[in-house]
Amino acid sequence: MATGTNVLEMLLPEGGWILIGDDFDGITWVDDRPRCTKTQFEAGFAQWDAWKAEQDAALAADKASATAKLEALGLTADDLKALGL
Amino acid sequence: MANPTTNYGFVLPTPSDLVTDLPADFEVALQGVDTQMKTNADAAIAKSIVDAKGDIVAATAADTVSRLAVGANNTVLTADSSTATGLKWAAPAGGGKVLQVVNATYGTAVSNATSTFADTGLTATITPTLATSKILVIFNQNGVSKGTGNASSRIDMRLMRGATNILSVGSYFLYDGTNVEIVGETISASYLDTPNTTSATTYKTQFMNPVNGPTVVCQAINVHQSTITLLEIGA
Repeated sequence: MATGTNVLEMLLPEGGWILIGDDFDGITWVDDRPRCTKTQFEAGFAQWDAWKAEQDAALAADKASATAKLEALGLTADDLKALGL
Repeated sequence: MANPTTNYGFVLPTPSDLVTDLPADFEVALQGVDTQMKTNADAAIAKSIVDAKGDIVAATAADTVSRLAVGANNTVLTADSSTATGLKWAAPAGGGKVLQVVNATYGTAVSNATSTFADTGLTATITPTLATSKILVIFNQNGVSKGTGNASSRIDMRLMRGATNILSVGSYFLYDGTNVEIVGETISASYLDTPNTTSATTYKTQFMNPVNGPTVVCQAINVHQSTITLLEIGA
């Protein structure tokens, strides 16, 4: 289940906000970076799970692609493990 | 005429006495009363010796009394042979003793996606008994977390007395050079402060991410209860 922090990270990844709790009224906008509306914020709770799954899938795909490229260069599974991959 | 009264022995005629000189008998009896009243009055402490709320009566010598005005709030009466009454009002000798304890907890998530210090929500207020006291501040800032997004992300935390930064505690906390999310860490610290006041004094923690964008969080999950304890230590 998404938190208010999760939703704001999804909507406004560039930051510029402080949030107390999980309600829109708990947001303090610190500067003139982009903001979201209360409607966007509240709708974000239902959107977050799908967005997070996309993010995780993209991250996994990127990692698999990078691993494949390294293996194509001749690195073994042990080499990748030694690199923390 | 030999009929002394019970307490002071005033001489009165007996029921069978033949009263031949009533004025003389009255003179004897009333003179006795007059003498006794004078003796009692001389031995009494006049209420006019005290002037104000809290005044006390103290001896300055044998059979000699004096007024000692009330001391300042939170002082105690102390023997001191150098004063006229042998007494004085003084601050209690509380050296090294815990005079009071204040504790608070906070469990609401607070996120900061800026490089501006924000309150974590953890705060406590103490009113020192004495201006000479020290305040020992102990806090556990729980559920400290950083989100993904920037390898330079970290938490800077500080302890505030009112609007004054008295201790930077978490500079570079959670920095690991990666953009991996870290959740549920604890920053703990203690600080011995000297506020030099008897006014209500508020302590709180603040945090931020110098990277200015990626999120850092305190009490990230509602099971993360942060605590702060203030102990007034007598000087």
